[in-house]
Amino acid sequence: MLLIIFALFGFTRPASSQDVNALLRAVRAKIEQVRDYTADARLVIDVSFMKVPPSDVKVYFLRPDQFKIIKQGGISILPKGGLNISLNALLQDGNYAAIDAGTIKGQRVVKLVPLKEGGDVVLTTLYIDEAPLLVRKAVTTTRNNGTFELDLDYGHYAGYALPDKAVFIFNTSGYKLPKGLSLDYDPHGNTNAPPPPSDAKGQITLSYARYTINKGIPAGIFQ
Amino acid sequence: MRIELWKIYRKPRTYISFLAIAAMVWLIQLGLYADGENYIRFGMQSLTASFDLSGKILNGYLVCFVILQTFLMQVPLLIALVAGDMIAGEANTGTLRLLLTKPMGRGELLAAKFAATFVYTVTLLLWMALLALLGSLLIFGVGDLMIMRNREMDLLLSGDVPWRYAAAFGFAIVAMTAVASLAFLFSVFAENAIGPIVSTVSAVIVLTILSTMDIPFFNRLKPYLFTTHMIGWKGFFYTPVPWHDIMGSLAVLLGHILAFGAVTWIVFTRKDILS
Repeated sequence: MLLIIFALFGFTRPASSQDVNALLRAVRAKIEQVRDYTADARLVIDVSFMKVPPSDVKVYFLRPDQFKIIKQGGISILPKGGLNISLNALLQDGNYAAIDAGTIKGQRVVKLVPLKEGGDVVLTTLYIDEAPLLVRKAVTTTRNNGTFELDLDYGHYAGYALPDKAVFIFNTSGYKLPKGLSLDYDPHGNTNAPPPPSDAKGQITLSYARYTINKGIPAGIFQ
Repeated sequence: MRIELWKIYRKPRTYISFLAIAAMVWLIQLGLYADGENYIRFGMQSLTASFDLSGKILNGYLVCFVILQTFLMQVPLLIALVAGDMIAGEANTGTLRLLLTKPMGRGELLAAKFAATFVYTVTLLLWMALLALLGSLLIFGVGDLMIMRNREMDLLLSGDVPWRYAAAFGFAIVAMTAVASLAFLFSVFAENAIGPIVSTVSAVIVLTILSTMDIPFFNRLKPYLFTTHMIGWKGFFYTPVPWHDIMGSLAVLLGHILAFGAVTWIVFTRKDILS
C-alpha cells in the first residue's frame, strides 16, 4: 500500500508540476510583452471609513513592479502594498515554487510559494484561464499587509494580458486612520464614531479606458 | 441703524477685530507656506503608514479649513468686543438716557443696535472669508480637500468645495449672531462694556468645554447648548452632508437668537434707565 502511495506521489506530482511551470512560463511570456504602459482609468474606492468620490486617474506601470496611480490636479489615496504587487514580479524565474492545486470552474489553480525568505509576500494563489493564458484572479497573503484579492476582467487588451477592469479587495481592519485633531461636528453629542468591524472588506475598482503600451514612461513618475 | 453703524465703525476698537483676524490668518498662512509640507507630513503620519498618498494635499482649501478650525474660540471674542458694548457702552458714557429721549421706542432702538451688530458680524466674517479663503487660494492654489475626522476621512473634489465654503460661512454668520445676541443680552445688564464682553467669552468657553467633554451626564445637555451647534459649518464638508443635523443646528441657533433677543427686549423695555 505504502509503495503504491509512494509511487503515485513520486510519479504524478512531478509531472503535474512540470505542466504548471510550463503554464506559468507561457503566462509570463504573454505578460512580458508589456514593458510599460500608461492608462486612463476610472478609480472607485469603496471603503466604509473613506468617503472618496470616483475619479479619473492615470495609471503608470514599468516592468517588473513599478506601479503608480496619479490623479491630475488632485489627491489620490490607496492602501499600501496590495496594488503594487505585480504578477510580472511574482512570476520571475527562481522567485517561487509552484504547486498545482487542481482546476476550479475551468480555471487552473496554482499556488506560488516565494523561495526568498523575508519578503512581504507569503503565498499567492492564481486562477488561470489556460486557453487565453490569462490570470483571472490572484489572492496574495502578505506578511505585513494582510490578504489581498485581485479580480481581473479582460476585453480589448486581452492580447497583452492587460485587464479592462481590476477589482482589488482587501480587509480593512488592519488599516487605521489617525484620530482627528479637532472636534467633529455631531449635534447629538456622540463624539466617537464606532470602529469598523474586524472582518470589514474594502474594494478598489480600476476601470481602464485606454492603454498606451510600450511607449515609455515620463521621467520621475515613480519618484 | 445708520447712526449705530457709524458709531461702531468710528471706534478704533472695532478695527482691532479686523486687524486681529488679518494677523492670525497671515501668521497661519506664513507658517504653512514656510513649513507646511512638514506640518502635513506630521499630521498624516499614521495615515501614510497604511496608505499611499499622492497629490497636492496642502492647498488653499485645506489652509482655509485649518484657519476656520483654529478660529473657533477667537471669533466669538471679537464679536463680543463690539456686541457687548452696544448698550453698556452708552450707559458707561452716560448717553443712553439721552438717546431714549429721542422720538422712538425702546424696541426700535434695540432693533437698530442689534441690526448694526449683525452688519458688523457679517462684515467681520466676510473679511475673514476674503483673507482665509481667497488669500489662501492665491498663495497655495486650488486642489482637492482632504478632511480627517474621528475614524473617517472625506476627500472632496476641488470643484465640489466652493459651495461648501459659501454655505459654511453662511452658517458661521448665524452661529456668530447667536454669540452677538448673548453679548447683547449681557450688555443690557451692565454699566460698562467690560462686563458683557468678559461674561460672553466666559460663557462661550464654559459651554464649549461642556460641548466637547465626553461624559454621559453632559452628553444629555449637549444638544441644547448653542456651542455644540456652532461647529455645524463643518457638516458641509462631510460626505454625505448631514442636512437634517445642520438644519436642526440652525434651528437651535436661531432659537437661541430669538430667546436672547426676547429676554433683551423684555429687560430693556422694563428697565429703569439711570445713566
